[in-house]
Amino acid sequence: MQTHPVIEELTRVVGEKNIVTDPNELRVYECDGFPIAKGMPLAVVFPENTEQVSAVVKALNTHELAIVPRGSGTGLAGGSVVYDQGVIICTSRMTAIQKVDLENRVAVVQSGCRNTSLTDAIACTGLRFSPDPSSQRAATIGGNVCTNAGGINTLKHGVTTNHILGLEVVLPDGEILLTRANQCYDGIGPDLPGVICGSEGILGIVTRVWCRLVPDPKAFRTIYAVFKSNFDACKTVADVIASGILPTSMEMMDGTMIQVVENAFHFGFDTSAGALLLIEVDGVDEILDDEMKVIIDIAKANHAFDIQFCKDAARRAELWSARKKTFGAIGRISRSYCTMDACVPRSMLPEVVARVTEIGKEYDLQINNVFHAGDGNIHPILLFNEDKPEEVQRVMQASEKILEYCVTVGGTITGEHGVGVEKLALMHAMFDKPTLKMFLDLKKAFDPKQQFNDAKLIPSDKMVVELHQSPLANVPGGAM
Amino acid sequence: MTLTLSSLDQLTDAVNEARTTQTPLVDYGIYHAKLGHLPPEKHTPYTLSGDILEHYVNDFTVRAHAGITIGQLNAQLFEQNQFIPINCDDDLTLGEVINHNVYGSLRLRYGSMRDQLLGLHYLDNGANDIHVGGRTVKNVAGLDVTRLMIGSMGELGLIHQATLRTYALPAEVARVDLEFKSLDLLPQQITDWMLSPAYPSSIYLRRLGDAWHIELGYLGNTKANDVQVKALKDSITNIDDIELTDERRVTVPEHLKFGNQGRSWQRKTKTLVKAICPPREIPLLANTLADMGVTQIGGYPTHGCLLAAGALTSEMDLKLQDMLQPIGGMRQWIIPPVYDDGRTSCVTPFAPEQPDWAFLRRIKKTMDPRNLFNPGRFIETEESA
Ligand SMILES: Cc1cc2nc3c(=O)[nH]c(=O)nc-3n(C[C@H](O)[C@H](O)[C@H](O)COP(=O)(O)OP(=O)(O)OC[C@H]3O[C@@H](n4cnc5c(N)ncnc54)[C@H](O)[C@@H]3O)c2cc1C
Repeated sequence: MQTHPVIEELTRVVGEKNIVTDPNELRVYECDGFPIAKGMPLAVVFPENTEQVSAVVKALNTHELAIVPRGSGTGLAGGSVVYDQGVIICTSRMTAIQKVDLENRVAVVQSGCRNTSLTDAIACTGLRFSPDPSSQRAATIGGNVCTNAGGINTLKHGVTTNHILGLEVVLPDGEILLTRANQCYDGIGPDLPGVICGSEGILGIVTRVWCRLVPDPKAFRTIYAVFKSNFDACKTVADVIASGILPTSMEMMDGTMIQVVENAFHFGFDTSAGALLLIEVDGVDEILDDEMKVIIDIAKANHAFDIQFCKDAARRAELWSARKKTFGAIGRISRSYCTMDACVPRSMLPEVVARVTEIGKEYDLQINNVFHAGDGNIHPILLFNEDKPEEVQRVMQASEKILEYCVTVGGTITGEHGVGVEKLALMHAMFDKPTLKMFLDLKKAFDPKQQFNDAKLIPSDKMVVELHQSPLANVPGGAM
Repeated sequence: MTLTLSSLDQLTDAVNEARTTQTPLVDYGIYHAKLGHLPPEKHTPYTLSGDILEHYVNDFTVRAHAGITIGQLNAQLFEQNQFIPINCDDDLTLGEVINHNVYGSLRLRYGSMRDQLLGLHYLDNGANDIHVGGRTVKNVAGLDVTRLMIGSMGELGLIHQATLRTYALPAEVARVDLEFKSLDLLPQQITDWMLSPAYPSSIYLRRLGDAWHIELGYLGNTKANDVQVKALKDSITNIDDIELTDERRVTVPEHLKFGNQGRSWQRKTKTLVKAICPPREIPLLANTLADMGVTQIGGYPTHGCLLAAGALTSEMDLKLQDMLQPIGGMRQWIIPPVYDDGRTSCVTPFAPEQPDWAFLRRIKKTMDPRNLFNPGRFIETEESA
């Protein structure tokens, strides 16, 4: 087979050890955490610094090849999947923490730095980088920025965009853009880092990030409340929010998830429970007991039958590790699953979760729930057998129905995982034509040739991705 | 004549008219009326009026017209024991606050517009009503144009509605005033407070006479405030250079009006400059301003932002810029000096060119290709340059 001439150029830029072209090795990069979308890249390059990224982008431009940025590939919407034999630029070897400036509470990292690498590096300073997606051990900070990742403590402490001061970005023409890339907390003019956050790699490739560091709360109370039904747990969440208390987190697991996690890790959960809430408050130690009491009273009023609480660090760590391990545990009950992501007004949660269950029944699918309840950010998990195309089809249809329903109650089709390719078709349910056109115009301001992660996030007439028509052969040029 | 626009129909007509007659629409706001380049000679001035559209009380979110003032908005939210934690003058509209990323000392606890804004409606060049973001507290559908609009000075579209988070109104504010003999201690002191139970909700630095004052605000219930104020007092007992000069409990609405010291000095002044620097450099910035003879100085040390009022000369401005440039800081005129011809204009430029401005010009061209909205305000046109 003839090698594409760009490979030689790319190899010159990044060196032989930083490029993968062997089809067997490329298979790893065929998809991300959304296995329904697959596409084989021509090559994957691993630059080590911004200048290399810029040179790689320029080389790929000359050859008019599609470019797809990728961090760790933990994305759940197919955002880093390649179409058209494009080339993946993977930041996983750009891992340096270049500066930790405690006095200004800022860290400067290369975008491939993993979320927990920064957390670990500053652990003893009393400060932390707040965004904490459950994938934080693997996911890169650049990936967090480009998906605007949330996490368990988002409810009180915000999502990634709330913790980013400035960015360095290699634009689609290979130029290097610095926006608010200093230790200041303000800038002059439109908030450019704000629009790059969550842009899923369609505007350029983020190479360095100026991260805001915040004090790591020292005092906590963690509450574990068990309910007979999802409805009671969701009602508790809505009532706590309405009370004005702002917990750090309110996470929910349904009955099946409790069983799965318990069987896998033996945390001591009651496997007969219908739902479980993990709630945490942080702040001034002396008042946390009062806040906790209000929350417990609300849970009791909603028929919680087992309530425990702790301020003990070890038990707390164990409870949260249970939450973070849920996704890993799902693999025990189903080889394939589709983790959905939508966000609804918190007051609507009881109705929404009930409707999700109904939709599961309508499509004869098992749907489980583990999610960021306090944010109204639901994650129904649809289990399926990848070898049964008809079942995959039902999964796609049920997903669409759930998302459309969420939009009708004032919600959004994605709270944190992004649109990627998964939700392109649903963008029309959220946005009207002029708004979608504006998104595309804005993309073209960055990327006039539409070469950078095209046909992700924004439906484009240039490339139509009909994911749910033919689920496993969905990606133009990259079907399998 | 200034148009007052209240309904979507009026707004749409105004944009269509602007496009047909090639006469841009200009709204420079109240507090920022003199910030940036002059509007083109031929333009239509307008203001927006408005009200709350929907208050989702149990979800702690509110949707309102951009023309509502912060005073009106909070007055209605107070009735439901909620509020928007932007401490600015009551007469600023929500639109102006978004267009200029206005924040006050409460940013320390509640963040700025980037943290509070959930959704926006704005009209584009074609008078299309563009709706970005939404009413949920998390949302990553589409490009986050909501945030791009923050600080855009009205140049990228005509914002007419916004959805924001609201917060529970704390029972009281414990306000403590400290006099600092020297500001050298301040950065370390702030870090120490932030890492301890003395972590305040707001910190405001003000020069009063020859002295530096720090006003700390604790928003909470009486029990929490007692604990925090005690921690604060304990933290300064052995420090000779810090003296507690005042302590009181006030309501949140009182605190939003900017503590004891008011904000009128920023309005009744010949010139007003906003300087931004890394927080660690606040003593250097504050002392530079004071050494130049500026007496009216106030701001937010945790976010590296100071405002200086009075009669700043171009010589002083040069000194200020010389000081800021090597530490990565910048300044912008909010009220620039008045030239001899009586026309208000900037000390050129009104703010130094930032590394992302060349790119922002491209974005302006994309989002406002006909230059209908506040042209030249921040991104200069041929006429304003
Ligand atoms: C088990 C599990 C748990 C998860 N939990 C959460 C959670 O709690 N909260 C949450 O928000 N998400 C969660 N996710 C989703 C995912 O981990 C996040 O979206 C994460 O931020 C992606 O980071 P990444 O480095 O893996 O990015 P990738 O998956 O590699 O990329 C994601 C998107 O960002 C783009 N991109 C990545 N890096 C760059 C860059 N440097 N410049 C430009 N574009 C770039 C890609 O093109 C793609 O569109 C979870 C995923 C898994 C598998």
